[in-house]
Amino acid sequence: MKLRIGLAVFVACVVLYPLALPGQYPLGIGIITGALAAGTVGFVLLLGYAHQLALGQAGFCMVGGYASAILCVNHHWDPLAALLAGALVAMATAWAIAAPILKLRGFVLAMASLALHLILIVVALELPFTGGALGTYGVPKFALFGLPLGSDLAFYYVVWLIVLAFVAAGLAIDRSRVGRALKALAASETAALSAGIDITRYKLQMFVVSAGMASVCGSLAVHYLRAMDPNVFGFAFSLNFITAVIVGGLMSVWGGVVGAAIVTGLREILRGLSLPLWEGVIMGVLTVVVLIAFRRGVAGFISHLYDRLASREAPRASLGDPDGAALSRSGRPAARLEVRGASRSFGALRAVSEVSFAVEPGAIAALIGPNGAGKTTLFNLIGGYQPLDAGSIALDGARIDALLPNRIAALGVGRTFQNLQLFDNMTVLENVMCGTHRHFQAERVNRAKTAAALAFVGLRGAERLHLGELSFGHQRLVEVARALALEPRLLLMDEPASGLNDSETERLAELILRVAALGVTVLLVEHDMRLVMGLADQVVVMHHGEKIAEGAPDAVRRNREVIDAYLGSEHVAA
Amino acid sequence: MLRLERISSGYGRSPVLHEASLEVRSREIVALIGANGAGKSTLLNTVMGLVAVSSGEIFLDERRIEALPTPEIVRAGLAQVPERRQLFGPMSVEENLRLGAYARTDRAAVHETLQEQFRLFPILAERRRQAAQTLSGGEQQMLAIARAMMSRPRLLLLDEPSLGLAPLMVERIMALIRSLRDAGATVLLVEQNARAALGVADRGYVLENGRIAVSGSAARLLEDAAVQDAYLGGQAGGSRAIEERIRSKRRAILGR
Repeated sequence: MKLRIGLAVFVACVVLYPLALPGQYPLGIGIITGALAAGTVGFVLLLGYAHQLALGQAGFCMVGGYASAILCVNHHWDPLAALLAGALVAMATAWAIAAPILKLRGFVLAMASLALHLILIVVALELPFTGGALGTYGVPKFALFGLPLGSDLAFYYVVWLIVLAFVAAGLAIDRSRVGRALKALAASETAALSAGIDITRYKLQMFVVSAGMASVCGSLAVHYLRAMDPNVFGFAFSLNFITAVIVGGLMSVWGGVVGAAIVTGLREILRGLSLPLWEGVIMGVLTVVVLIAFRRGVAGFISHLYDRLASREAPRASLGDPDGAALSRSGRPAARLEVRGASRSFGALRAVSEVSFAVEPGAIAALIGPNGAGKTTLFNLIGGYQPLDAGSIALDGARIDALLPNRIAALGVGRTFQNLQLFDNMTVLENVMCGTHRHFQAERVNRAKTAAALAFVGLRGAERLHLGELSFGHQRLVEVARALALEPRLLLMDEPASGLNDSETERLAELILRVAALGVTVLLVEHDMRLVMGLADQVVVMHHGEKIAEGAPDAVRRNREVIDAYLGSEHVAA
Repeated sequence: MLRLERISSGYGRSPVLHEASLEVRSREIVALIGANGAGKSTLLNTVMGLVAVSSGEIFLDERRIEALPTPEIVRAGLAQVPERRQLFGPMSVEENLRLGAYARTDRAAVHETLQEQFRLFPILAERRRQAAQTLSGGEQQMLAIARAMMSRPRLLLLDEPSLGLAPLMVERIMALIRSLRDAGATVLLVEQNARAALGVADRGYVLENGRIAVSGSAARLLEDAAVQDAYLGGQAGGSRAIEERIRSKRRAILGR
């Protein structure tokens, strides 16, 4: 509903604008706004969705702008072909530089991408065929399939049709599993990996897509300006680009369109007042004001307003009891885990030192030991979050220790975290849906599987809630449900009972038993000895990174070394 | 010292606490126990002025504090050790401790308080130059408590100090809380681990769905049948009883 209203308003604005404000000048503003919007939609995908602070996107506008100018003027290409060629070059460039540049994060990435933009400006000044500082002039009007667009009005519609296509693509991404994966990696990369999401791939995809869209933005602008030089897409333009998406809002691609309209419109109004010196000041103040007043940008504010007006009853949780029948045994057998000689050091600290043990298929094993004994590090080694220094880890005899975490998750290794790693920008349903990411099946199937996993852990009815509306204990269950949605063969649980009271701990114990009954091998790190001794078939004890004991709960409980290092007096066998 | 009278509070439009009344007297340890989501942390945050009060009154001695901003409340002598510690990870143990005295104006006496913490927590003296994030979980919890003590609070609010700690370390932390009390501190202790909390406390309150359901001396609550059932894992035997119940469930579900 919201989507249809958004699209209807968009189309109405585009169609009515030239009718309401006829004349060459307003039409020109409309075209420039559209060209900018084509780029900012892509920028929202990169900045808002993939959370990659690559601020030098105007560099890709330059690629498109020069491709269109040079190919059309010097080589008499068809404008549409030149536009597509420019986009391809921009995307190929993005793809080629993605590997080194996306390794960087935050402000370093921002600086590196701005530096690339600077390099492009210098290259454009120096290359023989760009026209240097004077630029390339006489760019023809845009044409479609060889037919030149006679009027600016026709060009205006073509530009906005392209924007509509980009918006539609953006919305499609938003509503697909890719969009969910992007939101997931924005909230917690670790948790995204644990759900089997290949975060590098999606960052790369968004970088490439947004580079293509920026290039199209450049091409369209050049066909309107009829000239291209190194200053057209300089740092001032970069600033406009960034201002537009921040003012418009990073939460959805609509923010790119709204922001482009506001920035262009405002600049023209300021020009009308002939206060060119104040333009930068006023734009800056406006950005700050919008940031303070509407933290999600103007588009985010409008969306929020709509939700409030349209909201019926706020969703209330009427959480059911765990429904053990909601999931059934999967066809795949439980996995056998074998850790052999695993070692990992941090500087001089041997966090994990030559630890070996095996967990048989379908067994429940517990890993215990004092805080700092290396249990979580060992979990990270098994999950692939950190590399081994020595030793091996195998799942059903096949080594997994060289694989990336999302690959290991995709092999059926689920995980829950000591300090919850949930996606706080999503509902409970979306959080758990992320667990289905690796399955590549229809969303309907994913939804059904998600609902079953939620019912299994006792969160039926919580689908539409946001995480903040759930207690800590229930949030833990969301994490378990997400791991179950992965359909794991081995489940690693890091202190699942931490923060739970006694009755909740007992319910958790029952849940873990039901998970094991589904045909899942369980390995847990836990300090609650009642849970460990009650549940486990096998207990492995670590101290100072080394395995000091292993065996059945009752044997471990009587082990003198374990009592001294870990259990203390209270838990000595009665 | 601290008195809550019929306090209702919560986030946005949905109240979490409903007319909760509670008192902490000078030099005693009061335990607040209850299920997840019962409102224990909300109660602490309400006292600290982090959650808005919709009705009721909070007195620190005779002064009403429910409308004061948090920094004022800290200056009035309350210090909170938040759940999951929230230390300044890359900073050293000593820097963390000194930041705990940040609001104090008697700069000269800060050094004295610092030495006092090192006497109470010798392990922190050993690790004073180490970054807080390199400490083990139990040591971090000690640092968090010591940091709160640096403001020389009249009342210390502890939120789940046993969270994520090994059994042996839980015993140590609880013993430390008792020694703080013996050194003159007053403590309001929020705990999921009801057995450990009531073991160290003088009095206790049980919070259920935002309401105080039971209160009394810690010894009486440990004996109370309803409290035992809900929070202590059933009748005598305690932790062993829970373990046995889990084992019987295992036999029922897994057949082993």
